[in-house]
Amino acid sequence: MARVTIELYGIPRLRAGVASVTVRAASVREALVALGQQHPCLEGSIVCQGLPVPAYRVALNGDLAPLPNAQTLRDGDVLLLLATDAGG
Amino acid sequence: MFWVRVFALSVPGYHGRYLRIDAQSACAECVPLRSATLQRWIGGVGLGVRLLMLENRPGIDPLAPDSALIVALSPLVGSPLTTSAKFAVVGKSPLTQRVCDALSSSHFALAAKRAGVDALVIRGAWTRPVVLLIDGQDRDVPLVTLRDARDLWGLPAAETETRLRATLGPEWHIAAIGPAGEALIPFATISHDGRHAGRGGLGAVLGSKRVKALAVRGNRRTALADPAQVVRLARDLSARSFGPATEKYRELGTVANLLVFNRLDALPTRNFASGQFEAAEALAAVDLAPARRLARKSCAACTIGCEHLYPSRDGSAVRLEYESLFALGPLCGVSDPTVVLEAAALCDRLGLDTISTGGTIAFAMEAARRGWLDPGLPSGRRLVFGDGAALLEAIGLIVTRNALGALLSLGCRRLAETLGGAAPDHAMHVKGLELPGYDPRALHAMALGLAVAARGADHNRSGAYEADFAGQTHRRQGDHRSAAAAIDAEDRAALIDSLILCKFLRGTIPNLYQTAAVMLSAVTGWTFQPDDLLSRARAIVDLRRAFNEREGATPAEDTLPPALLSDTDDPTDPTPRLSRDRLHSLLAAYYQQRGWTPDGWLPAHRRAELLAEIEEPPLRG
Ligand code: SF4
Repeated sequence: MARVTIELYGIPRLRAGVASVTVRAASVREALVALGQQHPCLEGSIVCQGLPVPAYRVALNGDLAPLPNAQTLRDGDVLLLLATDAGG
Repeated sequence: MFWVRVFALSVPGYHGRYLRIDAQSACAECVPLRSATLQRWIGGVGLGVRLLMLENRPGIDPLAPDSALIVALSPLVGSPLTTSAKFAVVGKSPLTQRVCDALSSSHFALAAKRAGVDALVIRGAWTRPVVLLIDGQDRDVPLVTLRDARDLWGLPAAETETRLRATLGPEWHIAAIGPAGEALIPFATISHDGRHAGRGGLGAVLGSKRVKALAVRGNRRTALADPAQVVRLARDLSARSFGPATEKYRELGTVANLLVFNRLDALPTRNFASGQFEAAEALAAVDLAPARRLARKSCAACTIGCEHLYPSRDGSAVRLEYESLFALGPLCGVSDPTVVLEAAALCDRLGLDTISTGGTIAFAMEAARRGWLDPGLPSGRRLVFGDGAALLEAIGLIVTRNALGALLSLGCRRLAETLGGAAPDHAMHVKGLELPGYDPRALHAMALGLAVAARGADHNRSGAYEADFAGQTHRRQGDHRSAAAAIDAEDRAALIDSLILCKFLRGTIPNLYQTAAVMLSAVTGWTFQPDDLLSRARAIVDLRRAFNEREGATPAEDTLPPALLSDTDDPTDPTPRLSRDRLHSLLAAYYQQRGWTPDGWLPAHRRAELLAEIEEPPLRG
C-alpha cells in the first residue's frame, strides 16, 4: 500500500479542520475510504464509501484529467479533493 | 420633464417598452419594444446591447453627453425564480472604448421593473448634479423628475443610498456612483446595496451626465403566462440551490478559490510574475475562519447567499469576493488580510472596480521595480510589491489624481502607453480591461476566453476556466477542444446574463438551454426551444462583436499581454506557459467554430443581418 497525501480545500478543509491527511491506500477509492474513516465528518457529505459526492472530484498530482477510482497509487502521490465548481 | 405617450403592448414577463430620458431635450418618453425584439434579445445584456446599438452613434466618446447608458431588466425579474433580481448596465466603456455590460442585483432591479419598463436609457448631460427619480407608483407611465444632488456630490454610493431612502421613503431603491464616477475615473462602478456593476467604468458614464443616482419605485407587475408552472420551477430551482453544488458559495464565498488556484499555479501574483503566492495561506485565513466573518448576506430573491462580510480595522463590515482578494492581495504582493479588507472597503467607498484598481497598481509596482516610474508617494513611502500601506495610499490618490494618482487613474493600458518603451508588454489587460484572477498560462481554455471576450479580459462573460478545472480540456496544452469549451462558456454566459440568473446556479442546472426554454415559456407564454435559445445566445455574442467592429475593433485585439506569452509551452515544464503559436491556433479554431472569417471578422452577411434587425423603424402607437 502506498503512502498518499490527500490535500483538502474549501468545505472539506473547514469541516475536517486540517489542510491535508496522510493515508495508506493502493487506489483512489481506498484513499477516500480511509479519508472518510479518519474524518467521519466528511463521510456522506463529501465522500461516500470511497467515491467523491457529485459536487467534488479528485485530481492526482495536480493533473486535473478525470481519474478512475480504481487508479492505483504510488508512494508520495498527492490527491487533491476539489469542488467541481471551481472559479466564480 | 414632459411626456410623449406611446402605446405599448405588454406581454407576460415584459412591459413591452423602455424609458428614454434625455437631458438635452428635457424629454422622457416610453418607446415600445416589438415582441420579435424581446423574443430575440430576451433581456439583460442581450436587450441592453441591442438598445446600445440603436441609441449610440458609431465612434461616440463614451463620456460625451449623447453617449447612452442603459439599464436593462429581463422577463424573469420579479418572478419567484431564485437569483433573478438582477439588472444589466450597458454602455460604451471609457476604459476600453468597446462594449461594456456589467451586472448587479437586488431590489433596484425589482423596483425598476415595477416602474413599468423593460429598460432605462439615459442620454444627455445635466448642468448640475442630479438624482433621476423614476416613479412608476400608481401610474401607467412612469414620471421622471430631477432632484438636486449637490448635497450628495462627493459622497460614497452607500451613503447616497441611505440618505435618499431616508428622505424619499423605503419603497425607493437607488443605484448610485461614488466619488470615482463623479471624477470620471474610467474604472468607476455603479453600485446598489453594496454590490457593484463593476467592470468597464460605466460609473464614469453616469458621472459624465452629472447623474449621482437613479432612484426607482413602482407597483406595476408583469403577468406570468403560467403562474403554476413558474411556481413549480421556482420551488425546484430553490431546492437545488440549497444543495452541495452551491455549498462553497454559501459557507465560504468565492474567496475559497484562493488556495485552489494557488495550488494549480493559477493565482496571479505580483502583476502575473507567477501563478503562486507564497503567502496564500496567510490570506486564506479570511476564507477559513468563519468565526472572523461578521455576517452572510444575499441579494434580493436569492436562496444561496454568497456574500460574506468581514470586519475591517475600524469594525465596519466589508464584503469580500475572490476577485477583490486576488487583485488587492497577491497581485500586489500583499499578504495581510486586514490590508486587503481595508483596500476593498476603500474601493467600495470611492466606487472603484477592485480588479482594475489592483491591476493598475500592480502594473505600476512592476513599472517602478523596472525603473520606468518614480514610485514616490506623498507620504514618502514607495509603491513597491508587498507594501500594504503604499497600496492603500495609492488607492486614495486615484480619485483626486494627486501625484502618482494622475497616472493610476488612467488604468493600466493607458498608463503603460504613457510610460512607453517596453511598458505596454507588461500591462495586464485585454482590450484595455485589466485581467481577472485566472492566470491564463495555467488555464488555456480560459486564456482564449479572455483574449476574445468583447468587453475585454473577462471571467464573467467567459467561464472557460470551468473546462480547464474540470479536466475536460488539457489546461496546459489547449487545443480545438479548448476553443469549443470557450465558445460553449461564452454562449452560456450570454444566455444566463440575458435571462438574468446568477451564475452561481450553474452547477445546479444540468441542461441550461432546456431549463431556460421551460422557464421563459412559462413566464412569457411564447414557446422557446432549447436550440433557438442557443442561436439567440450566439447572436448576442455576435452582436457584441458587431458593436466593437463598428467602433473600430479589429481581431488583432483578441490577444493577451505579450509578457504572458512564450516561445514554447512544454506541459512538463514546472512553470505553466502559453506559447504565441498555441494562442494563434486556439484563436484560429475559435474563429472557425464560431463561423467567423478565418482572420476573425464577423462574416459580412452576419453583420448585415444583425444590423438590419437593429435598424428596423421604431414602433409608433
Ligand atoms: S448567489 Fe450571491 S451573487 Fe448570486 S444572487 Fe445570490 S447573493 Fe447574489
